[in-house]
Amino acid sequence: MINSLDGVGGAGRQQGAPELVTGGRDGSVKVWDVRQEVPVAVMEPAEGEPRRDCWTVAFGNSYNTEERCVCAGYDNGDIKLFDLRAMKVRWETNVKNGVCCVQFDRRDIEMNKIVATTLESGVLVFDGRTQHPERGLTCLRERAHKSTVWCVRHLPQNRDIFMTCGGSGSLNLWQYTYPAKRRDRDAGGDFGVMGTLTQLQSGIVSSQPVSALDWSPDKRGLCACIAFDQTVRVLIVTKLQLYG
Amino acid sequence: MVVNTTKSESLRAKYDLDIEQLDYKYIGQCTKVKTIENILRVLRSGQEGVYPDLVRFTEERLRTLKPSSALLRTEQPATALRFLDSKERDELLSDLTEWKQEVSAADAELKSSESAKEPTDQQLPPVRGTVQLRSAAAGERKPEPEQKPARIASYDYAAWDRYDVEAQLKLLDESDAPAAPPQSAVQPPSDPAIDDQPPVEGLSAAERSALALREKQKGNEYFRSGDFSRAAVYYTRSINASPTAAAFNNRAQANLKLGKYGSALMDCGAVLRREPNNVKALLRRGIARQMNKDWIKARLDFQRVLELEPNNPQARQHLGEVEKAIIGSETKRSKVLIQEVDSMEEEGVQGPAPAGDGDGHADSHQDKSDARTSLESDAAVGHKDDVSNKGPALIQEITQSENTEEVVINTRFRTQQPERSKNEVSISKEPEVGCGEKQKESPLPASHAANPKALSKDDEETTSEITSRTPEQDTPADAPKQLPQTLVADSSVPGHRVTDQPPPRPPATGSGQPHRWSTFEFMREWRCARRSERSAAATAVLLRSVDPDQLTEVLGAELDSALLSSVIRCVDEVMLAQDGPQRCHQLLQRLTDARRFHVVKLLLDARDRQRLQSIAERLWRRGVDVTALERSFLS
Repeated sequence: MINSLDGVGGAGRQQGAPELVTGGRDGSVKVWDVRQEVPVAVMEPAEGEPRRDCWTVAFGNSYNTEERCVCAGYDNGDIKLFDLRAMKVRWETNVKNGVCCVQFDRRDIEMNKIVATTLESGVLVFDGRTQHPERGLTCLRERAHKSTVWCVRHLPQNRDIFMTCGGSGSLNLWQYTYPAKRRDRDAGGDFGVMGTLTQLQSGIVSSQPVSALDWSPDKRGLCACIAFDQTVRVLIVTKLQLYG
Repeated sequence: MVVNTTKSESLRAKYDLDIEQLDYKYIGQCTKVKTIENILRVLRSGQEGVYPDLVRFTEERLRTLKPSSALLRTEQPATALRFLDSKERDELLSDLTEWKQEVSAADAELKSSESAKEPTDQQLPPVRGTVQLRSAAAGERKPEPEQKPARIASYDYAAWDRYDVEAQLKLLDESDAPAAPPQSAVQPPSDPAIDDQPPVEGLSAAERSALALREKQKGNEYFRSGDFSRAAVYYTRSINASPTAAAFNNRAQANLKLGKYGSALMDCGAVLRREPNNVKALLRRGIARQMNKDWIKARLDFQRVLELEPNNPQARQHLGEVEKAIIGSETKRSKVLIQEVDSMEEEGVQGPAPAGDGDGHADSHQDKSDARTSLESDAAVGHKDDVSNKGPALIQEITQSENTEEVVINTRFRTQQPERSKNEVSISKEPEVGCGEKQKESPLPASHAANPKALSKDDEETTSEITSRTPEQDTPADAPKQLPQTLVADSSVPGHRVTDQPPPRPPATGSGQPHRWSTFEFMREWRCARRSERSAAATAVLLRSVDPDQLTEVLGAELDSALLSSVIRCVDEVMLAQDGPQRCHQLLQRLTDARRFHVVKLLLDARDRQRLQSIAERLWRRGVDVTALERSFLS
């Protein structure tokens, strides 16, 4: 069973091969090219290892035709970052709660930020620009929604604004501001410095969990979400142009 | 704070708070954010009772201490359209309708355009090779522990003979050395290869402009996060997809931040070619020019901005800076190359060498619009040994436009400051530059072969005097040692290609004659005098050496508040006592005729005004009619 799906590439929109990535119940993350039936890359646990549900996948770092990364979140709290050009695991970590949703702030630039949302109201922002050899990517944690955070979606017109959807039926709009110095150095190497996360707005749209949301790429602030109460809602978020 | 985790424990105990702390007085004076937050949690939980006012009070207090606190976040139901007031609702709906129309139009255009076909396989990159990656499981097997070499038994003498002490010591040393830090599998490349050309093959114009907009947005995001080089790259991509004025403008700003003023100039130029009244582009071009020290053009740009937007604070500020820089640079502009040519006595030939050198220098400024040349002869006392006997020593003063290289300054020329006056003098025209004549000549084009004339900037300068003089004039006995001497270049010297020069003025003789100053020299001497220990006395000496009738020309447009203040002080302290009232009165009278006097007069401070009052009073007591003076100074 496929839990999550993402796509990137193809001429005219972004550079690189047109590919899809799926994350499934069997713990495998498969990358498909639309031109053929056999997956072009499969990332799965080794034989005999316990297979954890892969709940979410996302593409990123696709700034030219060769580079591409896949980030996958699992139900035991694992987050793994796969580099598709080098065919290696670039980074992995465990955030203690099942990861419901993972997204890069933009697919078609060098990886800048990764936002992961977890069970038990966890919202984590990772700085993808600097990777410390031991500590990996730096993280900023927030608590929100007082329940499972089902989904995170970045605004297509501004990579520093994103919306999270919660199990309490609420939506939170966040803005990330960068620190003065984005990286620092210690004995082991360079590490990233996190900025601050401000909650711009929050609103309850439903009494049931809001499980998915998407922004319109054409109109800033227009989005659609679905909730467990079998409704599709179309929302407008105003005054986003004030944030850049 | 001790945190106990038994379930039956109350929150208050968990946060270690006293009941007295849940009180208006305590909360009102508490400044610790954590304590207030804990108090709020306890109150909100209701375990100690329900106190809505106290809760609100605590929230207010927390808001003053830390407005971004997570506890202050509230969740309200999202507004529906029917709950908005009519103005907002209408705005929203009209905005949406407008957008819908735009999108339908763009959609129709896209559908009708030719390139509504799928990209062919040739255009797409090849399929990624099929690879299977087995990710490491959670509990990785540890590498087997190293097998230590077996211990040699104490009785095993043969083995002990074979034991190599040196090798073992080396091994020990190596194992003590710090291990290299573990490298992660893949690191992000420090210099990513982002293509300058976005994928635009086969796209229609509408698609290209949409792509350009997205690339510009990416550039904006990088700019906001402080990454100016990548921002510039994405703006370049946007321009390559579909050039827009906004993308050029933004790239200019990114280049300004990166310090690439040349590229910023080009980008602003590109914008202004399409939109000549684009305020942002003008402002940025002005800033780029200011950074390149192109003061005049920068000033033009900022003035243009202020014409279009009179309240632009940035333009004002930059204009002020540029004006200051212009004033500063006007005194700095000319650099002097001293060329010993001839002694001034003979009417001999001036070799083409000096003139040639001057021309050579000037030729190098062909394209600089305000390149001028002038000569100022100098035969300071110390140079006497260098001066050949043939003619006047010539100093070719080559003025340069503001952002050019500097001409070598002969170190014999005794001055420590790089300040120079705006005055230029023609090589051989000194005699013409007689008593107080103002030369108004147009700026010289670089090829001053035709016309090495005295140039006055903005037609306002006095001419610098170059008088021919005899060697006796070399150092007036009373002049301070720093005063340089001026010589006249002989006008009849043919090498200067000057035409129509009247015969030189007979050299002034005797040290009693008031020295003919050039503005540049005067100002220089005044600055030296001002810095010297007995500045009033030195200024007095200087002022005495100036013929009062020449004062206005000598000062030129150099009069500023510092100079005026020092003159007043000098008159007050020294000259009134030593030189007599008539002389002082004459000096001050002439001063009022100097340019800029009226402006500078307004800048006099209270002390100077007091001094003037006292001077006027003393002059009056000695019988000088000071009404006119008072009126002009103190009105």
